[in-house]
Amino acid sequence: MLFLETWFWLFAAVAVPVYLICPRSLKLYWLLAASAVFHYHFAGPAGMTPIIILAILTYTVALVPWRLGRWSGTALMITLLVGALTFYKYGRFLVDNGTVLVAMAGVKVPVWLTRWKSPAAPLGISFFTFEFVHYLYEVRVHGRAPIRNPFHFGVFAIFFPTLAAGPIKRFPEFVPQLTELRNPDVTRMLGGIRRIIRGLFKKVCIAELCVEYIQVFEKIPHRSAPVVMALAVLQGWRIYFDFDGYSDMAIGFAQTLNLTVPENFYRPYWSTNLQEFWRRWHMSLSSWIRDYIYIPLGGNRVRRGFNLVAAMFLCGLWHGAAWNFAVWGMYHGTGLALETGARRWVPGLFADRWPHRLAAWAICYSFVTYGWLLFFYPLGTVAEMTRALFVW
Amino acid sequence: MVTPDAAPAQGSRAWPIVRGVGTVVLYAFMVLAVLAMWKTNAPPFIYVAF
Repeated sequence: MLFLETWFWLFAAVAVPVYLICPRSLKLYWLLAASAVFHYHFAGPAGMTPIIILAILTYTVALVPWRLGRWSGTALMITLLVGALTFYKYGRFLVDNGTVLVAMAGVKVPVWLTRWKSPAAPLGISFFTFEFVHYLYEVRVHGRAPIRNPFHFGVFAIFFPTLAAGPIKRFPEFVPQLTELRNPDVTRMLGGIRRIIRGLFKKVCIAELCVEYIQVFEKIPHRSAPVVMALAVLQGWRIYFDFDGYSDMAIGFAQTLNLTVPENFYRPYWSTNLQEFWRRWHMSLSSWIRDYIYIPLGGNRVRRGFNLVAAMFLCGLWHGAAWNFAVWGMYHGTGLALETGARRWVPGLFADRWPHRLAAWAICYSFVTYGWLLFFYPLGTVAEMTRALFVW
Repeated sequence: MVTPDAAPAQGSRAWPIVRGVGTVVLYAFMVLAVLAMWKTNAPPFIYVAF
């Protein structure tokens, strides 16, 4: 899918060389055209239309400040972006859970509501929402200058290497690169190609191999503790190599165009505590959650534990409209809150001596690995697996 | 006659070549492995669904 499809390789074989031979004055327009073709191919008109509408509105609202009563245009636009994401991603989930609650209260649920099917979510809607919310917030709250050139905004919105699944770009770092587009030198180009090959290797040879072993372990009828442990470890490596491979390819393709996009992973499984893990895992998302959810909630200043659990709950729910993702998020939020408390109450706990570091690594890795069971399996299955872990 | 200083200089010249050849071999192996394990139906990336 996407980077692994033959269509994409044919597209890249045209898009990148033409970009390189394009005169500098035309590179921006070629990049936008190529990204639009990519977007159209993978999202189709139905997937592209809502994104184009949201992009035009975001671009306009940032440029022209206006108010509607007590609400600023930015606040309304952010509400619209989050509303669109909620409608597409969580519409069915909210209806299902809402109808259960309403039925429990003894109210008859209309048949049309139970039969309602939410439309398919446009490709990459989460990532568009993150980038647009970040853009509006930075312009209005931090007073950054908005993007005036619509072609710059267009490339920022639909840049093809990062369109579907990030890394989530920050416009103050990305857009200035568009004002002077140049070809990469040989070293940078070779670096980009190497990164793409590494990404392919991680996805095709490691993540997919993990999937095959996971399927073998899942077929074992009696899930004993070693089987559950193997499943948790394999799922952890699978998701890491899958998404790190994807990120390598996205960063590599951007590099072949001489553009820099944020990193997403830095050896997360070497972390010795959860804070460090979240600074190394899906870094463009975790920094987004920190800047636009955790800090506006109060950050470290007030109700730190609650803010951590709430931010991670939303982070979990973002991964999918199902309770196991929400529980996974709260599991990590609670872990982070307890760790913060432990740091304050037991000062020597995270000492920089090797026995401490080894124990801290083992605890952190075990915590994260168990969490992958919550991420990948329904809660009922995880309850059975957890029982198997403790009853040998 | 080889002076005592000549050996390290030769070594420092050879090292980038060894590293370059090693990198080419490593990446060639990765490409071959990818081609060998390539599936006709492209597997989905987990995060694209999010």
